[in-house]
Amino acid sequence: MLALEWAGEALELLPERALYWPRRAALLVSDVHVGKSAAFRAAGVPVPAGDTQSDLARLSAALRRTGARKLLLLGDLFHARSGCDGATLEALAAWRGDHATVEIVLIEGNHDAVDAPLGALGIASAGEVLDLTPLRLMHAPPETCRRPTVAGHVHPAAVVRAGKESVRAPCFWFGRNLALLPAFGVFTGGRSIRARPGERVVLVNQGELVEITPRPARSGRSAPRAR
Amino acid sequence: MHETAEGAHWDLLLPVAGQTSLATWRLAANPVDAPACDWPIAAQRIADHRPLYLEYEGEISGGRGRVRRIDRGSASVRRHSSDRWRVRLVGETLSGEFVLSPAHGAGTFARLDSAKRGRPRSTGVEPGAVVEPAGASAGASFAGDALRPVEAWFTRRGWRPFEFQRAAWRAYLAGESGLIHAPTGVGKTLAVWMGPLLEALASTDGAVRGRGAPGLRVLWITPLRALARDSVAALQEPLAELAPRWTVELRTGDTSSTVRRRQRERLPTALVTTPESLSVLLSHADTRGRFADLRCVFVDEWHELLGTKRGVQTELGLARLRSWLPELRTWGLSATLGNLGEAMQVLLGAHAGAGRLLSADLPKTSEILTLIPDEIESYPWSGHIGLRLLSQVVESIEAARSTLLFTNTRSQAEIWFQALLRARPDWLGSVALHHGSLDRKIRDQVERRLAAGALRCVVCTSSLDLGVDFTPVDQVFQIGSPKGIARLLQRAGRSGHQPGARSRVVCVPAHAFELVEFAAARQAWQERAVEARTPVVRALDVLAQHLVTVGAGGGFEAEALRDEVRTTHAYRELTDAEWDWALEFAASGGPTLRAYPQYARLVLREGRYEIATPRLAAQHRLGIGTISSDASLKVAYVTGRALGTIEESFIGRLAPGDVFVFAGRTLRLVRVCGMTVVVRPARETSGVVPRWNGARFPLSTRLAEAVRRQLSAAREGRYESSEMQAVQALLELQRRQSCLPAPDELLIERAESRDGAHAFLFPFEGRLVHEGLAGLLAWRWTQRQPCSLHVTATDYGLELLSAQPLPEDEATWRALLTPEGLADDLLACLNAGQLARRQFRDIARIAGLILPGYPGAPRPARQLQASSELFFDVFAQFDAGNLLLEQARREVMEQQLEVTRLRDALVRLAGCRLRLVATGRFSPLAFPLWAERLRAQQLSSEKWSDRVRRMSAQLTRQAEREA
Repeated sequence: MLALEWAGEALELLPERALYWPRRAALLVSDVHVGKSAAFRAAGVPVPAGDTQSDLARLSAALRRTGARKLLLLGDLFHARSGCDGATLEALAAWRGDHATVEIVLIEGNHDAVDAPLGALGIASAGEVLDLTPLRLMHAPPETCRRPTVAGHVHPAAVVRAGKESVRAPCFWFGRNLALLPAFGVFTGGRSIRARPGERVVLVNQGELVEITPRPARSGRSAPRAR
Repeated sequence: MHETAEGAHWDLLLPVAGQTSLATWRLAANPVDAPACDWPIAAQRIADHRPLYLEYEGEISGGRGRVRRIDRGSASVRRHSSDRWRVRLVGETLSGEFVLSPAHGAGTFARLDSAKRGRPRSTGVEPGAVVEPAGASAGASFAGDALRPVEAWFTRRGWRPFEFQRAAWRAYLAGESGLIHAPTGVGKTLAVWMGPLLEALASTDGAVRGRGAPGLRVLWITPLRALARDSVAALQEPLAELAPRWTVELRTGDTSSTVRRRQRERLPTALVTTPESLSVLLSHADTRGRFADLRCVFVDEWHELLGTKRGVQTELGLARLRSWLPELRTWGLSATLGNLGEAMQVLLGAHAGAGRLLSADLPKTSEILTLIPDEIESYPWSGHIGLRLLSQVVESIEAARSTLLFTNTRSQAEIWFQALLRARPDWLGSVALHHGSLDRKIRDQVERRLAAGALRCVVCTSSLDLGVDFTPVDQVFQIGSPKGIARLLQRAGRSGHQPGARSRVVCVPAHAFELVEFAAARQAWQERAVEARTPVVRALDVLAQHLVTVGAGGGFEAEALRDEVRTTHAYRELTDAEWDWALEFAASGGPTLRAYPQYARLVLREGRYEIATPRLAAQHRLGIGTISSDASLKVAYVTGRALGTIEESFIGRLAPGDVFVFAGRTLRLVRVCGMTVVVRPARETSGVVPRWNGARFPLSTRLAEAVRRQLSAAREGRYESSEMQAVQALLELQRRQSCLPAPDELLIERAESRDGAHAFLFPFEGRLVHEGLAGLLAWRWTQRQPCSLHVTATDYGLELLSAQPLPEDEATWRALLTPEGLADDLLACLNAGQLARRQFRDIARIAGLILPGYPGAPRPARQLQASSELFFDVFAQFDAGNLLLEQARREVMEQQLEVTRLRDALVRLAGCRLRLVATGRFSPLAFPLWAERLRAQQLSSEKWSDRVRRMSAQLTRQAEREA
């Protein structure tokens, strides 16, 4: 766990690839991509199952550890329609049963148009933006942020080097008015970002949080670009 | 040329005075390369065309096919009667006087002379030269007469067959298979191709005379699509006279759908194709019937396939064909290799016993010359890349008509191209650049202009190493280390490319020690000590792909296919467990997917495994192929014109506005947009030169060994070649300051500097081995003595650097260098897990995990994209027993860490005497290692050069004072 203050709020980064907001007892998670391996199997690609179960177990662990009363999903809970097979939905329903008292809200992401029975799963839909003053939560980060915004969608990842070796891992990224969450799903890729001075990047590598300090400024280096 | 669903025809469009539209005829044959016997060509006057069709190429609306221009030029209609036009054409290839008669309706298009002669069709074969059908087509005793038609064909050209060609024809006619080894450009193609032609001429089944083209008889497999077109032309050449009804066609990934459709109707007599396209053919159920007449398979440039997974794919395809056609003959064509016998065994599989290995020992000689710098530095370092010799190179280029300048890396090619143009700005347009990252169209254009004699010099990389009938050039330069003997000779063979001609390469050293390499390469070549290529075995990804291929191509019985697969060299030691795993993986995704009955690629129907759905078969065909391409981005101007591709890792280090050098131009990065890097021309004359990955070849084992022998001769005071004489002072200095090791000695130098304690080891085993060895030594030493170590490796040796003292006594070094426990120590010290994860990219694609793009869509649906590294993680976590993971680890050990070579090196070193020398400062051998370490520390290149130059000067002054 790594505590930090951002936009005047105390926040906790969890090695489960989730962010906990104590004042609102809310756990923030983005890009779970439930049923991704199932979507691949449906297309004839032999990917082993287990990603969804493993993701749900990790989500349970984060909920228990923090005692969160709310789970805010920042989009892309589901991966694709073809991945929402019976087994996947059953697993999701069973998991929901284990956390019946937690309020779950889904902000819609670009992958979520899958006709999943959100109502039956007890998941409320919040549309595209959820305003929880002072933070604004959404899926895809906007072009410009005048207000502190937490988003996902980008699947940020960063590289740390140690000598000749390097490790690339998902990360949290905090800019001035925009924070990006790592993709929660185990079967998700990442898009490399590079930290500039004044930004904070925290890597999640094998269950550990590692903060990387940006190098001194070099003129004109690329900023993390949000899609 | 106008291709439609029905076939192809050729349109002749002529301007007529006083008329805006073009008089048009439809010709039944291609007038540009129609063999003499096809004249006159049937011609039909059709509706006049608008002038824009003169330039138009591409699709014609309404699904009326595609047109392509095959020739252009001026035309004048000389006599213009309603019935008979006489036309003078001056085209790029077709020129002369022609007659169109009648000028309306159906008639003919004829050369004026052939029309006069009135001999519309002639086979071109001299009547006496046709062998009477003797029924001896496969007989063991074969009269010399059988070769006569081909001998006559040679004679008419003023040529004489080489003895190896005659031997190959006889062996073919006797039903044998084998491998022909000959240097580039001595007639290997004719050595094999005349076999089936002779067989057809001697047979009574109407394969030559009679009506219609015979069905598929010959399959010609070539490693490169780019070569395929040349091969078709080379195979077509003798047909006009010997077998005019035979057809030769191409089928590669580039073949248009129209041609594919036509080939589905009817295959040509000889089909030129790639290993991938052969697999695609095998994935169609009706292929077996369509291949019923197949007599032989020729595999061109087999040395290029051997040692790769595409070679394995070829082996599997051949095994399939042999099980259908037990009489099938297989012949390989190979350049010089150190393991020709093994190469043939791999090609012929379990049938190798009967193989015939034919070598062309021809007088074609190769000369290796070297440009020797006037001044040799005592402390050589690489990095200024031989540009000091630029003026001599420029002079030679000026004096010759055409030059190929080979470099080892793409970045070196860019640097030399820029340097040549700076030296001679007036050569702009006559000097060109050719490397694997340039757009195919640009490369094709360069090749065409070179063939047309329009280029003075092409700066190129291994992208021009191959080519069947590549236009010979006057001279060839090799910039920097040759890295391997076979490679240098192949490059030399690009000059004087005719049978009997001399080929010659001029080597340009990038630093002084490369002079030793050139001398070593020449000596090794004289002794014919050329590198071997190790064949790939037990590649389960290729096997899994093949199983789905065969499943789609009509299905298989498990045991029969297992036995067939085991006839190949690659899988002769395949265990039952591996077979079972591969089959289950191909069929149902492996043991972990058992619980998912909805997932299946192959299903068992009445004892046969067959593809589950036609959609899966189509998807599989798109994914067939074993060559991987890196994650590369397209480089294009704002206008959309493509320049080539560049690796993502390079562009990732640039920001918009940065200037870099690519395709011989300085470019400014505008933006990266999806998979395209958008650039504008930049005004600056220099910029960052991209370094492409994977282009750094290590010194080959053979060449490394030859270098050790050169040094050993120098140690005995023998400086025989001009190269060795040039570096004599340098080696004498090394001997004075330290020592020149004998072949059975390992030199270890120790030195102190303000950076700490240095140990330099010189095994002369090539960079990859040294990298592995350096990592191993560092790990073993830090196990004994915790400290921080820095390691550097070059082709000659390695450096360990530490702030704490390094071992000084022989016993410790012996213990560090022991071959025992190598594999475990390597796994522990190198991040083998990370490497395997990267290695998984190829495997994932071949085994069908990465979905290919669909026609019309460049990439698969977004929600079905995932990187191979991600797949690796998911498998490692949820299916740890997956044998593909195991294969990735094995490939890392063998290919990247070269564990076999490393073990051999350690065993050799264990038998060596150790020469421990405390030098105090850097010796001439150690200096390049020091410079290399500094470079790795990512100083800017100016700072780096300055510092190295200062150090070099300082050491030289010290050495001079002492002398």
